[in-house]
Amino acid sequence: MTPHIRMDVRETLLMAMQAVWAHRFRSGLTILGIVIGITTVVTVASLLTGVRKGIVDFFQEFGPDNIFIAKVSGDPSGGGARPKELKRKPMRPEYAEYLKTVVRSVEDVGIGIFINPPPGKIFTIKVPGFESDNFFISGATANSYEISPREMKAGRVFTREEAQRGQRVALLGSSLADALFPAGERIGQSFLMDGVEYTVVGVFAEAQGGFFGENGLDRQVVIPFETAHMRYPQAENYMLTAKARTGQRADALEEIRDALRKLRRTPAKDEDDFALSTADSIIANFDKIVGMILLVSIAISAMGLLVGGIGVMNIMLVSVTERTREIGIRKAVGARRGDIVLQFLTEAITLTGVGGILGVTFSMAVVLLVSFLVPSLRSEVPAWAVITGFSVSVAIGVFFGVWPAVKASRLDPVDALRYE
Amino acid sequence: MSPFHNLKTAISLAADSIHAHKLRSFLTLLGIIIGVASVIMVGAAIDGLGAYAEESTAKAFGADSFLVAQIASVGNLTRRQVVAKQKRNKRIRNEDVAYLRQVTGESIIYSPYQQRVDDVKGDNQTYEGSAIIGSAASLPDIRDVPISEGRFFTETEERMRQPVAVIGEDLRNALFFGASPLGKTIKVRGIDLTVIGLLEKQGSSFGRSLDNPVYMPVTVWQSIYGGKNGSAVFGKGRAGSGLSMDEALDTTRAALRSHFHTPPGQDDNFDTLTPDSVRSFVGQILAVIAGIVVPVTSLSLVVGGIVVMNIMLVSVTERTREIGVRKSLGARQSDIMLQFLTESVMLSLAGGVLGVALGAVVAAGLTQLFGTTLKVTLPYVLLSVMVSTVVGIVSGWYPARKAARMDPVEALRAE
Repeated sequence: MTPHIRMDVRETLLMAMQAVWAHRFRSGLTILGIVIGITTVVTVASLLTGVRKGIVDFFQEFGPDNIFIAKVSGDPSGGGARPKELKRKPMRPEYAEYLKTVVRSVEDVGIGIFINPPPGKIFTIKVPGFESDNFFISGATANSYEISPREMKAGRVFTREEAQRGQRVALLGSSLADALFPAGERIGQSFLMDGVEYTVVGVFAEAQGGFFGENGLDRQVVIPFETAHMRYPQAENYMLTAKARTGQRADALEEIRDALRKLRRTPAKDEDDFALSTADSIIANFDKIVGMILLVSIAISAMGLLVGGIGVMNIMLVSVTERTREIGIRKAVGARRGDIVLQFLTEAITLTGVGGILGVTFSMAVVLLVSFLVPSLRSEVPAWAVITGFSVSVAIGVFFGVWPAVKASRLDPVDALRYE
Repeated sequence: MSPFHNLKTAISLAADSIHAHKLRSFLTLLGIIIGVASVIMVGAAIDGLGAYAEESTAKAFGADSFLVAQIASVGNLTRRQVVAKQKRNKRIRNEDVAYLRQVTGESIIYSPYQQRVDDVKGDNQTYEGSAIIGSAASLPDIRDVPISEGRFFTETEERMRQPVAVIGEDLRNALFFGASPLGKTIKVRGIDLTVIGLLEKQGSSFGRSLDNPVYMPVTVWQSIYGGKNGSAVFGKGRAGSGLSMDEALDTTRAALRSHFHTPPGQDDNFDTLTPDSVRSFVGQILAVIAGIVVPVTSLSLVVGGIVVMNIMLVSVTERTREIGVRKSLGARQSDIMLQFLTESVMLSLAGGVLGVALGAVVAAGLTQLFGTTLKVTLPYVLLSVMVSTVVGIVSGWYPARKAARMDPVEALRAE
């Protein structure tokens, strides 16, 4: 009985690494192919995920338990609404009180109003020496920031008393505050907006996330709802934010819908003539689009990986042919088919595995570079991309290395030893 | 020995070598094929997008017409830009159109064009969100208004403010349940209109249906919505006038400038739009997309080149003896280089051609499947062929040089 020589994992790995090293240049080129493929796929996936995260963070800011009630679906400040929706009856601020008292699953309701300049006019905001028209005006009730809290860089939100008295106080978004008051204390300063003077009582911290690094909230001026109503009585672009009691958001959604239909006297057979949305629903809508783009991009970049895999198969086949004699000797000395397969498969996996590690490392470098060049784009390589990238590279080694390995194992030792 | 003879020898040697290792050569080919095919398909997709945009522009504009308005631009304007234009540009009113007609005489056809979205009522149904368009009777002479039943309104009807209308397929289906709408009545903002024509089905463009307009004389439109805000004006050189579109546009601009008393040297105080400006806008967007997507796809081709280089190196190592023999028989360095370079170029070129074929087949298949047009255009084909040749030369260069530089003595001694 010929003694059977078992190979253990470490020895297999060592043999594979020796074989790879023996033909350094050739292995290097093969690995290079895999590296390019993996780098492309992981980089594209990471950048797109970063974009998506920016959008998700933007909407998370609005609070998970909150329900937004507006006349139109989509952007509540009114841009790009469908004409059918624009004709709907506007929201009324009175609804807020009603919803708060009647709907039990609702804890509180805040009112916001978007002030758009009338056609032909632009709003300007002025301080001595500087003027701008790059900002948005909105009004909010004092409780809005208990419902959707935002971090403040300085100062505080206006109080109920200030709001009730219709005082001309304002909160500024971070970029706007930097532009108007680049140096020194902002709290207590005043500025002129649309001909009226306001005093700053608070400055928001930078808003999280955004679309490609842009967040409109950073250029926002928020004045008390009552003040806005007095100054701009014709504005009727209201948005109500209802905060549901913890865990009761689903109930609140339905109850609010029923309450509003009753208030607006919507006939039973008609659709809602308003839009209810939550942070989740908005994110889900976006995810559909981003998901598709992600899929297409990965498919395109995966082509390079496919070609790299073919390269691996090709080189392994050459390697098998070159080492026919060696295989013959091993078999003659007692190696079984499985051992031969394992040996060559390990070689292939070593090649692609190294390629995978290098590829992931390179993509981290590329993503880092992108985050320097385009700081507004949040780019980082997510953990799942690293793991997936490495696993894919190993899988490629298995998939494209299996056939050459099996071919090697099938060699007749007699013929192999005879091979010149 | 003529260089041509050398080339012939090289080609036959290369063909033999490729043939001798069929599997290896096939796999190498496959790498190039995939790389080229993906570039071709991506290029086809982008060109298909471009063709789609071009089609939609043609439907909106017609071949030689231009548009003049207070505000007219491709793409979105920021609020600031809109307000600035409203301040600076003049509205084009009925009297301005009359002036243009008078000044240019018969050589240029004009039609005012006003559009608003509104609901249209039939006997029992209402169609929401129809495009209510007011124009002159001359509109069909300027751009395509394909009528499938009935007719467009006449100049007399326009002058007499006859409440007549031409409607699109979507309205016919919604309001009249597929029956002929001719002679029936529709109501817009409380005004009754008689349907005298039906538009051919046009399909949709960028997700919006083109079959929901109601065309009516601009005089009637203005009696419903008012005429103070000015309108856009379509213009086109009349067929017999000998004016090209650019000439007609220039004549119109000159006339308007003098009518608006625009000082010479100052920009026009109105906007103009031509099919070309729309095209260049679309072209810019496509260029940006292509600039990102094509290089990423090309990386797969680079990997294919790496595979070629790798295999060529193996090939050189295997044939060390053969190279030694050739050299000792008198082959010069350049002959050896030519031999191996030819082999790698042949492989890459074959892969390139096959890749183009594969890309074309897949593009055609996808066109059938999805209905979107993916055209395989000549520039991308030429690009792929050229690039695969270059890939063959570049990846074959190092191995070929290595082979050429071998010392024949050492080579002959090799195992």
